Amino acid sequence: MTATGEPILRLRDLRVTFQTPAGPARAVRGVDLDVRAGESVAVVGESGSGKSVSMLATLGLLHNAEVSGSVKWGDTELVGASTDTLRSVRGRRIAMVFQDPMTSLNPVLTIGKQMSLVMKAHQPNLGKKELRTKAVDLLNRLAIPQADRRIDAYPHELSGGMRQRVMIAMAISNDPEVLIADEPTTALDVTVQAQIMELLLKLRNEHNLALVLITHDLGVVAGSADRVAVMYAGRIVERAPVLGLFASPGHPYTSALLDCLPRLDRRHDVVSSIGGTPPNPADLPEGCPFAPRCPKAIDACRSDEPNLVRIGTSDVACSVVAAGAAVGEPV
Amino acid sequence: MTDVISPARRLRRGRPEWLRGPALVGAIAITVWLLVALTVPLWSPYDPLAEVAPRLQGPSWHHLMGTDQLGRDVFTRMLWGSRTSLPVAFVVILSSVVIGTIVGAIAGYRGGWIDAVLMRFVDITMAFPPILLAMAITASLGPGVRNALIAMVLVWWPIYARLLRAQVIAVKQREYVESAEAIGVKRFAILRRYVLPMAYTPVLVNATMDFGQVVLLTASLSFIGLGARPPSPEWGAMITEGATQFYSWWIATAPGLAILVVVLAFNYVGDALRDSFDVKGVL
Amino acid sequence: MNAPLLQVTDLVKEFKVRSESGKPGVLHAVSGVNLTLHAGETLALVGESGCGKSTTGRCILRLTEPTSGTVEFNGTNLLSLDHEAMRRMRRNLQVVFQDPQASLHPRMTVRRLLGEPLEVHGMPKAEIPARIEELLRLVHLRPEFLDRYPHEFSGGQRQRVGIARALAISPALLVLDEPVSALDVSIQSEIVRLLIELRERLGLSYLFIAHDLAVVRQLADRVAVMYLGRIVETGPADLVYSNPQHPYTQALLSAVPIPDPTIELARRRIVLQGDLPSPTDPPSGCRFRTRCWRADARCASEQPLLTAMANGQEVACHYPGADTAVSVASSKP
Repeated sequence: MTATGEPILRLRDLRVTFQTPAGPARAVRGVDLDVRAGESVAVVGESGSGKSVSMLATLGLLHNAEVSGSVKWGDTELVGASTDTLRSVRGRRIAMVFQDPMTSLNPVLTIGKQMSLVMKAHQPNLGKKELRTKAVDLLNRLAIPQADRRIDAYPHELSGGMRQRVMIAMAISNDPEVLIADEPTTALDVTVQAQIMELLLKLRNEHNLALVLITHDLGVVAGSADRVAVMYAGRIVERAPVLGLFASPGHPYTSALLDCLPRLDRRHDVVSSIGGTPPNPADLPEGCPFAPRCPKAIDACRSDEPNLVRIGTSDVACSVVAAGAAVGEPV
Repeated sequence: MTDVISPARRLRRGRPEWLRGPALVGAIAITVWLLVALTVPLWSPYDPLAEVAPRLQGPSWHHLMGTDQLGRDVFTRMLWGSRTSLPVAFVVILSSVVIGTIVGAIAGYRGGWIDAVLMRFVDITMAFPPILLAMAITASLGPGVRNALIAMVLVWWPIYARLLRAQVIAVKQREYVESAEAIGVKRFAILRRYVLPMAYTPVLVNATMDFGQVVLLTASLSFIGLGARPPSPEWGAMITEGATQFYSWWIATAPGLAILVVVLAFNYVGDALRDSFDVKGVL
Repeated sequence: MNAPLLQVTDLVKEFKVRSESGKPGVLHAVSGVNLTLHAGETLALVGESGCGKSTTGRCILRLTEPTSGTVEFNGTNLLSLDHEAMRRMRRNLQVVFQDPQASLHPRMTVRRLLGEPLEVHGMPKAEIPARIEELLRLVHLRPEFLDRYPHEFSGGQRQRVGIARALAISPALLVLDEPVSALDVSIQSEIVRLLIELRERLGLSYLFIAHDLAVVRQLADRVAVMYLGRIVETGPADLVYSNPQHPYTQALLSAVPIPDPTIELARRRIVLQGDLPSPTDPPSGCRFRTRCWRADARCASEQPLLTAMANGQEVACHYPGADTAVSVASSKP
């Protein structure tokens, strides 16, 4: 399913810098991303690639960080926006689900109470009874059995999968238009992961929700994303429709990453891997940050950092690939 | 990647970050008192035991803190008092830490009935207020600095035993301890190399804080006549003497101030140490 | 076939627990597990969290004392050894843990981490430095890393140190307890490659405990699938992956995403209903029956035993059978 129309969330040249004892760490270095209603966009990368940080910055959830660039929700600018503006968007228009439901839920409040609080924050007119009915209804929609009883349970009385469902129920309780899910299934078992992903995609279809999926797992991406943005060292190195990305990865990092993925359906004769380690955001190399690990790197890669260039249906930030494709034009 | 810099390594790196503000003042005060205790016989203004001036004179240029009812210089006696209080506190803390470590380590590492027996004993000891128990023990052994010291060790070690036991139990469950077991490292070596070094920090912090408390307890025992006896210049004993001379306020004030400074200094340093090691609410 | 290197028989591990209301109960972590591992072979023990796979591994290593059963290593029952004899036996079977950050002593340098097992098992002091250097070469770490502390390494390098430490005393069997699941994808494949290389070079046998079936596929000769303390299916890896017989194995395999959108969109996924039952109160009969679409009255009353099929696969199910829609074709790239 491919969504068309105007993007509802627009990131332009988003940058995030943290001050660390080792100097400024440039965690996100100019990210452009559009999210449209009803589509699911995956932001993929390894730890430290800036995928989570860029989304936290989008929602103004980063403290002690310098954020610049632009994040537009419709006509509203979110970077540098007032707390009130952010609050009216956060949770109401754009909701977020985190990796670990246990630490995101308050252990001393019942599920129902927490859901009520979240709903009341944006819908203050709802009465006690209505809140409860709505909460039970939400839990039912997320296939939580015996929802009318579970609503009075405390987080520790639920399994990990159940807790993540509750988190998702809370996230969608104010009918947001964008749901950002940060590694929503990483802490869960694979059969539970299947349940949760199925749910998220169902919600997207039923509510025309835009889904931003932050993940390190390209397997999950293959089954659930329409478009993919691959991040490395704080930048998007490739942006492509999911079929194109897997069929013909443009950036050498994307292909290397795909090559070293273990696959369930085959036993590799040679397990390939990417040598070296991702660079330290406080000490980035000159030029393309992937160049030190890149099999295709040429001298130019070590001096100039490439920008995203349209090649076919993909945008790729690689000097070598851009030089090889005559159709390359800047985006 | 999260870097974990162990406390010991942090200590070894030249400039200790925690030594700032009150902690720095405290450390200076402690250093000064230690120097005084070590060197005062060499430069003492007067003989602490001799009558050097008329009795009960108020503070003056010659006698900074006046003289007492026997004409002895109060300031000199206060300085000499550190030669009792500091060594006593040091020996008490050291002995308590050693005994507490042995008992706590065995109880925590072996568990089972050994743990149960040792810890019930610790519980009983800790059920009494320290001053009361120390009083009872000193009284039965007979008054004197040596007996007060023994009494204080008996009162104090269970604190460290319990603290270390809790730490040992926590550290023993860490994966690298299990990994050592899987390698086939002998049990005693695991305890010594893997468990104790990682369990020790809170004991170190607590011992620093307790130093001031032991100084106070020593003085308290002397004050009620169970520790140092007159005429020896001991802070608690000096306060006892001063307490009867109600209008010569300086006699009791000088040792009182000394105790205050030492206790505060150790508390400041201990506090800063605790914050720097991030030791969570001990006991 | 020769006598097996490792033979686990009827292994049971129960933990005494207290429920929230304070009622004493029994947690059935491992309930009668049988495993056989031959020299040079890699057996993968797979399952989801709480299935008892790690507890099984720990019982084999006697890091946890099993409740009953036997663990025979080269014909010796490890469970009958006293503490000292077991300690000496450990040179033959070593373990690599999931998180090298947690399993390496934070205040020991690599030199000490690698030297310690050698000293403990009586290598003459003079030979130790040479052996340490050899170990570093074996796991592809540079010699200048010798005086560094674990926190100075990246996750992948740390895990190499963990592997080198386990290999120091030349064990015959390595228990790998989720050795790559704490690592990033690109690092994972390096460690998997290293493990394959070491196995060939040193003739090691692996008991590979993991939840990631795609990683297991790259390493395992044989697979044993666990669910709630019992093995539900075991056999040669290729057979189990391509032709799973137990409904749980089928659901598990179908849930693992394949990084290929064309395959993903065409696949039918079995999404299991409900939650894992509590191991303090496991279902009667077949433990999977509460979530099984094939279950009937017999499954509740009668425990299915592992039964061998003609091709070498063993299944513990009253109604085994292939489910063509979910099997993952064995394809070569």
